[in-house]
Amino acid sequence: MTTLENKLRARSLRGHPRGSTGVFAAATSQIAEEGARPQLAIASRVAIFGSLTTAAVVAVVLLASVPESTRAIDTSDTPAETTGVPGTPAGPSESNVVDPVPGTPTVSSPTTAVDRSAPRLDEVYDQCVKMAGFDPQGVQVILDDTGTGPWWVKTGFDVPAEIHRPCFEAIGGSDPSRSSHGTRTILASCAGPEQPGDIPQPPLANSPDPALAIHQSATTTTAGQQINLSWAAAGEVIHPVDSLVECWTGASWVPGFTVHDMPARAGASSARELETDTPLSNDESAYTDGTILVHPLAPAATYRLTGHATICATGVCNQATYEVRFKVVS
Amino acid sequence: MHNEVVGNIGSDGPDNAYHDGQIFDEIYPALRRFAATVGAIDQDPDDLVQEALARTLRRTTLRELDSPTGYLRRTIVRLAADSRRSAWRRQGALKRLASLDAMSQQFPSDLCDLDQLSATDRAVLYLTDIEAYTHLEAAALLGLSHNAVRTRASRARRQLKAILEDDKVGGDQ
Repeated sequence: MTTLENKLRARSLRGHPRGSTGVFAAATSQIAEEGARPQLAIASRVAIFGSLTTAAVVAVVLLASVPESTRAIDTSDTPAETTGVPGTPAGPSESNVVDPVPGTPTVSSPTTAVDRSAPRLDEVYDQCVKMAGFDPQGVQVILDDTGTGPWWVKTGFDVPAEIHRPCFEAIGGSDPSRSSHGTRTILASCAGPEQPGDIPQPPLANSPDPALAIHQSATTTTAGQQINLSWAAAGEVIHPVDSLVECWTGASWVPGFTVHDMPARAGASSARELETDTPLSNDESAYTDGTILVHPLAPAATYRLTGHATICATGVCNQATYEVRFKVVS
Repeated sequence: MHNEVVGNIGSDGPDNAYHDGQIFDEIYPALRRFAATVGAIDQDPDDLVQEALARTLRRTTLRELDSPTGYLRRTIVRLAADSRRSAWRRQGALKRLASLDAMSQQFPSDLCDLDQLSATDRAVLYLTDIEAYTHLEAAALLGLSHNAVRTRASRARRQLKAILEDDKVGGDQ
């Protein structure tokens, strides 16, 4: 599922945004032009995208008249200072240009700025793609240009730090230690030798319906490596995010860190609904897997990831608690 | 669960374009990402958004719509679907394959795989998998039935899985 998500995310960020003001201006110009020359409007309905070419030309003409300004770069992972991409030729990006809408009142808010040294989305992406170890199939580092907002970095769920950090630095991130995805507060209490022997088996999933019991797999990994946590349940699985990971101190479980999902957008649900016949199935049974990847930068210890999920089957939904344990060894 | 900018952000201003511009500023980023996903790989997302906006503004103003985002999204899907059908009519199969191959080489990943899904299917997957809408919410946004969205999501995933497996087999050879 991660591959599909990465494809969709990357696809949604393709191209060079003209910005909301530019698109709005072009659309209103398009309407005005069609109103003035109705015969062209008729033609445009016959050949929609032929008229778009005309509109695009109008937009480019409008954009070309915009005075230069500056635009800040921001990265979500690091709010610190940023720099341009080395080797990236400075120059205005059409996607960053903001143009006043003809016929609209002047807005007194601060002018959105354009940083002439800001790397274009495709340039940054290309640069990262060419890096050793970067998997372009996974599209693991993506950037989001809101059109009028700042640049900021999004990282794929499963991008290892050793791949992401060079890219992150290349696009101007000044604090590589903050390049890994997610915010994790690792408590010192988690540090220390890992628990010996087998990973302790967790109690049975707290499901109100035995038919919905969640099965979990235990995994062992070395510090700094990715870990694959998975679970399965009959019926639909709700993919949890922002899951708390606790570590075992030898006497009790204490908060270790939180696994954050990439927020789709403000207000987005923290759960994801999967179909019962989603391609995640790993066998021919009626079970469906959910898989989550985390980067255990945490010290060697035994951890457990817990959360709550709503599991729906045949239209009946129940709350259930899931738990997956894994061990990080030194 | 999902916040959305609504059209009625002010009723005292006589200038609809001004208010519409404000509304559009807020919804543009999401619309563009949606258009980039739903539109064909050789289709400029901003062109899609622009055309959808132009068609909408010919009929009404954004501020008069209960959900300008939803309305524009549905329009974008229709435009993308129409464009896809037109493209198939205009071009022969071989020419299209050649075009897709060229686009595959132009774009640095296998994003063209998604082009083998319909525009509506891509919209369903994007809304549910990326924007985390439930099937019910996605159905409302796209003007489809709940069952239609569930069916489309399942079918699209199966189809994409088959495509990816074919690619893998082909790549291994």
